[in-house]
Amino acid sequence: MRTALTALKLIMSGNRELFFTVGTSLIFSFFSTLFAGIFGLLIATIFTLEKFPLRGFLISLVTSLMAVPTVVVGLVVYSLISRTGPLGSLGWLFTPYAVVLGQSIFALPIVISYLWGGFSKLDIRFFETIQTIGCSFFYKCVLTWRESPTVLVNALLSSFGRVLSEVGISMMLGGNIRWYTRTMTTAIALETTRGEYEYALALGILLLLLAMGINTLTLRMVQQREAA
Amino acid sequence: MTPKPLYKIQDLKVGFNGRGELFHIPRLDILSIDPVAVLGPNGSGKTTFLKALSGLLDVPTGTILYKDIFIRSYGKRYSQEVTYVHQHPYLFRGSVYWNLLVGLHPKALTPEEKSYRIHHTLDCLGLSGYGERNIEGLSGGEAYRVALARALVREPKVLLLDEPTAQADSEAKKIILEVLRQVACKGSTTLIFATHDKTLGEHLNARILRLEEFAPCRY
Repeated sequence: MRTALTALKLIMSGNRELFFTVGTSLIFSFFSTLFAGIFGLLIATIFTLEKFPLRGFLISLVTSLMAVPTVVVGLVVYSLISRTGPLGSLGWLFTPYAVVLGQSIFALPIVISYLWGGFSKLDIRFFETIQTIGCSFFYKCVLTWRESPTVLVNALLSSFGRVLSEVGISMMLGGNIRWYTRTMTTAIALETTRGEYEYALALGILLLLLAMGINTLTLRMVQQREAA
Repeated sequence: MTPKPLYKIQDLKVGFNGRGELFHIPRLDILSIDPVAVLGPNGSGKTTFLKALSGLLDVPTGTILYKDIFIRSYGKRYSQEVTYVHQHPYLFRGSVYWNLLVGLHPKALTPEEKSYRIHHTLDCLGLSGYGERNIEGLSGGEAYRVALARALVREPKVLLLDEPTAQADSEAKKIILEVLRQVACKGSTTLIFATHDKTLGEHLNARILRLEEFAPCRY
């Protein structure tokens, strides 16, 4: 109980390092979701609108990749950007770029699966109508996105929530460097092992509040969509 | 001189959802002059026939030639010339005007020309002042007229309509009939429509195509 009160006091006091860590997490998650969103949107729309060989296999593959643990993604990206790796010359290891790259790769299958799932549920007459209009592929994409605003928001929020709460990638690629790449989850792991439970709990409370906020928003979107 | 057929259909066999063969058309030519009314009872394959003509449905057996070319070979140009309107059409999220604007998408027109064409088409279909209305509040009959306007605004070479008057009240039916009659008289668009209503075919002086005549002993 005392630990919880101290944690709350820490939050209320506006501890600079605590909120810097929260800000770092939010910025990393924002950019990861943005990049995954851009590429995911294109890939999911191609999966939805185009029929091509191996399409079914690729969809299964992407869906399966949703279950890949973050440490595996971290390991793969680590091997690419480590000094001896093919992208080692970039010097990205233990920088925010590395974390964002890893988290984007982690978020990509999540975004694609949510978007593809949502787009596929559009009325069959929608797809028939855009086919008979004879418009360009790009215009078909725009119409598909325009018809599914909640699907887009739902996919991005879900991805943001997953990225925000991951620890493996941030730890392996960011190195948990204070005032630089330390995120909420890596800080929680570190402070717990150091016995700084109050600090860890304060971060845990903030992470929980953020996750709940995102989940509530997502749920509300889904409910509104179902009601419509 | 006999005009060249617009569509040449040969040995077209269509089945549906494992219910066996719906119809088998050994040979059929559709000319570009007269409208064609596709008649038949429920389940006779009127919609399937129209979808096959529109290119939305892959036909496993038989050939459909449009201007002597396989419709699949036409590609995007085919869907720019041929437009299909569902019995219960899908309208895009947003306003009536937006829906018609989407219909005009690939056309190289100035915004003023587009606006004129959209408003003129809406006026013809008794939808004056509907441009800014959201599609959410439209009745089934109004939604069909908006979809019909979206198709007409494109000035297609072939207009395929599924039950154009099924959802319309008597007033809307009159308007739709008049518009279709004008389209048929103008001669630049070939009308092919599925209907239960024989009078619709008579009103438009349409060639009658009874699908049950092509059904393999089902009736």
